[in-house]
Amino acid sequence: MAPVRTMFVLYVVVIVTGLVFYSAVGILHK
Amino acid sequence: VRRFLRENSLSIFFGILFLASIVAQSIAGWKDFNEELLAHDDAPITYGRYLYSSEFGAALMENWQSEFLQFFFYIAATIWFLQKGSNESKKLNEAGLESDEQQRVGKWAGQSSPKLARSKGFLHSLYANSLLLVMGTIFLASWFAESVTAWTVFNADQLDHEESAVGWSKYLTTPDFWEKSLQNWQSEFLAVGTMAVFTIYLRQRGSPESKPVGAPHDETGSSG
Repeated sequence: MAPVRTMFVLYVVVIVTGLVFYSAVGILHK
Repeated sequence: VRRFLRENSLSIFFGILFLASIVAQSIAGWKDFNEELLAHDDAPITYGRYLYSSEFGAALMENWQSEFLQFFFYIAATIWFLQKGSNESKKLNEAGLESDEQQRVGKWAGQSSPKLARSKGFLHSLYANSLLLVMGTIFLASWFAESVTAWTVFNADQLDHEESAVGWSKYLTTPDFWEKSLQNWQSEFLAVGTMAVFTIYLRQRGSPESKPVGAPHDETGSSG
C-alpha cells in the first residue's frame, strides 16, 4: 500500500506555518 | 515517482495553483503597496519586507478564514440539512449522524479501519468529528490572524491621518474588521448554496462533484 500521508502532512505544515507566522506578524505590528 | 504523481495529482494540482497564485498575489500586492507609499511621500519597501508585512498577512488571512468557515459550515450543515435532487446532499432518509453500521464504527469496524473507529469514549468522539473540528480550528486561527494583521494596518492608517491608535478588542468592534470578514463570507455562502442547487439540473461528466449525466433531476446524492 502506497503511503497516503505525504500530501496530508505537506498541507498541514503549510497551513500551520502560515497561521503562526502571520499571527506573529500582526501581534508584533510588523 | 510516476505512481506518486498519479495517486496525488489532485492535491499536487491545487498545491501548484496555490503557490503560483500566492507568489503572483505577493508581487502585485507589493507593487500596489509601494505605489501607495510613494503617493504619501513615504519610502518604498523591498519585496522581502512586504512578505512579512501586516498588509500582506491581512490580505492572505482575510481570504483563508472565509474558505475554512465555508468548509466548516458545509461539513456541519450537510449532516442534517438536505437538498432534494442535489449531488451535494445525502439521500432524503439519511439525515443525521447515521447508524454505527453505516459509519463502520464499534463492532462494524473493519480490519483496516482506523483504530479509533473501533474504540468508544472521548477519543472516538473526537476522531468521529475531527474533520469538522480541524476546519473550525483553522477558521478561528485564520480569523484571529486576520484580526491582528488588519488591526496593525488599521492603526498605521490611523496614525497616518493623525488619529489615535485603537486596542485589539476595540478593533474587533470596528466596521473595518466586519466589512472585511463579511464581504468574504457572503461570497462563500453564495458559492456553496449554488453548488447545492446547480447540481440538481446541471452535470459534468466524469466529475464526482456532479451526478451522473443520466441521473434524473430529482435523484438526490447519487455520487456522494
